Amino acid sequence: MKLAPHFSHIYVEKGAEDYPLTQRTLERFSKAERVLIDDYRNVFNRPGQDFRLQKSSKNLILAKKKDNFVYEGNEMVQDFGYRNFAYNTPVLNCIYDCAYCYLQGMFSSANLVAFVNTDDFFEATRRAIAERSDKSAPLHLALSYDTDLLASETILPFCQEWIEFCRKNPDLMIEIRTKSANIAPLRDLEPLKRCILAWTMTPPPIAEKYESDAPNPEKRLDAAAKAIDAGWPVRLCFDPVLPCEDWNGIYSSFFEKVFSRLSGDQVRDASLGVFRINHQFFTRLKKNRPNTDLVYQNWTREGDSLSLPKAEREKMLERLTTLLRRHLPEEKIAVWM
Amino acid sequence: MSNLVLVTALPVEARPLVRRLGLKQGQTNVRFNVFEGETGSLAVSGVGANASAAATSHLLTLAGSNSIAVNIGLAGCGDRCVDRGRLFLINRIADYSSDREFFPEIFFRHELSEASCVTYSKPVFKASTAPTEFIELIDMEASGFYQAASAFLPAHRILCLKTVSDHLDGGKLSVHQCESWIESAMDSILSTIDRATSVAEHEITGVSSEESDLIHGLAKVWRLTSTQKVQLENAVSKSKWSQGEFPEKELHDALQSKPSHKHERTELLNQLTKKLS
Repeated sequence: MKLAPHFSHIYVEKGAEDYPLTQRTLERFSKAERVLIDDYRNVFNRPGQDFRLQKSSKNLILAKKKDNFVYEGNEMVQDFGYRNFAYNTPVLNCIYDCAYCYLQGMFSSANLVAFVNTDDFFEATRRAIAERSDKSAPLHLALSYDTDLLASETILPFCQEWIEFCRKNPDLMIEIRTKSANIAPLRDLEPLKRCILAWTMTPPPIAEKYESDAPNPEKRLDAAAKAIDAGWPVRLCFDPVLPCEDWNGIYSSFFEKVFSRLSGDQVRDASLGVFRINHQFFTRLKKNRPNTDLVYQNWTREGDSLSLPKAEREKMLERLTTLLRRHLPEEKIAVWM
Repeated sequence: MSNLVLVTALPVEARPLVRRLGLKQGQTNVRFNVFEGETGSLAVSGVGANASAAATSHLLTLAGSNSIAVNIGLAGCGDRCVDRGRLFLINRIADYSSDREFFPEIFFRHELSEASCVTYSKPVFKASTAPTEFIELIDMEASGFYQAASAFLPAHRILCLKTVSDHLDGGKLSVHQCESWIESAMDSILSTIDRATSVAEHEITGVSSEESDLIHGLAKVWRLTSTQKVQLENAVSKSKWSQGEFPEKELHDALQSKPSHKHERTELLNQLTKKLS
């Protein structure tokens, strides 16, 4: 039996009905069943949700965020050494379904939540810029950590709004991380040096196995090349690196392929990091995804985090850093141990 | 195949279901009527959320987690544009007295209209409301039913179907009329239940129910502790999804050994998990 299509139901939180983004989204999904709700958390956090079924038939929740518009970075997120690092969550959850994704351990729902009160986010960001600890550096704000913002841009056009907001705020630098191959929504925008488009890059054999519904790495590479040509700063994120048989050969040939297409001079920087996840998120991920071999690998707990045993992790990163240095100068490579 | 657990408040709501599903009067040791058949069971709970919760819990305790729970009944609607006799699939249940809201998960395609349903603790009579895109029904059971069912089942195994019986105007309802509304909605009701049942079969588990039976069988024969049973389940899942095949032969072989004391049991389990890794 075919499940209901994605966004067959749109839940609208009371108080979020009149925002332009709500109206636009409801117009776009005019056939969707609309459900008026008191509080988005009553749908999103309710017990008894089947994450896997929801991934096959995702719904959308349009809500108004009340607080926590800007989060400070923590040990699990990549701050690239920026002193004023922060992230925010205009959207919760992702339209893709990667087997290793921490979101399936972080949230009890696979439905998407979009916060429609963008002006409140902007206001809070202006305050965060003014109150940043190091005034000699901009506020570095990652927009796309708990989602893939560019991938959902045709449905929820947050990237365009944030890029224009960033343009007007010279002490702000933003990063939009994605696996999307579609940069068409940004086509009409003037590129901005303070807006980094960051592509998660995964070698094809690993992407095929664990990123089944995300655009293939070749297409991501095309999108990154187009973005560079248009003048956008591009970051490549080889993260998470996943251990597999012949990882050395697989990553080596993948780096060759990537840098035969993109010149190291054109790439702003790159990151490398072995798969790591909060151990509680992993417990839930394993429950949601018992049918993937990834959850049965030799992960080790260190504090709150789960990853490969330290020695294996260091060995992989050392080797991969050496391989990456053939294409990029050391100062452009950020490694997460 | 999932067990069907049906809960109605009134006999008039139950009769068409009892007839159509060929259910027979069942246990008499509870305060509500229970009907049973091959497909499942039905309780006529009586009016009110508490009564509905009690009946739902009772049936689900007996039926287990491989069930689909369905509340079927009559409801009022303040919007006079909504015809009496019209059947709705409920997508939001709100409890008026506690201000809580609950959401059955509708993963399947269907042709019914959907609506929200607010459960009150006493009959509601009020002036008609203006038509709105968000249709709201009013009943006296749904929140109790849902809260009880959700203690046993995930949200996509819980359904609530309501037929509009009145416009909250306090007019007398004819028993015959109410029964005929449910009767004429039977095809839609059963087809909706079938669809929900098909969705439940899409659930992904680490091991199938047959495979799970084999694991539990071995755990029983070896008299494994709860922790050891989890270790065994993990080892089997790991073997199945890493090597692409359920280790049926290894488990059948293991069943031939019967440990006589706990040290031997631990040793056998260690050997088996090592073999499966």
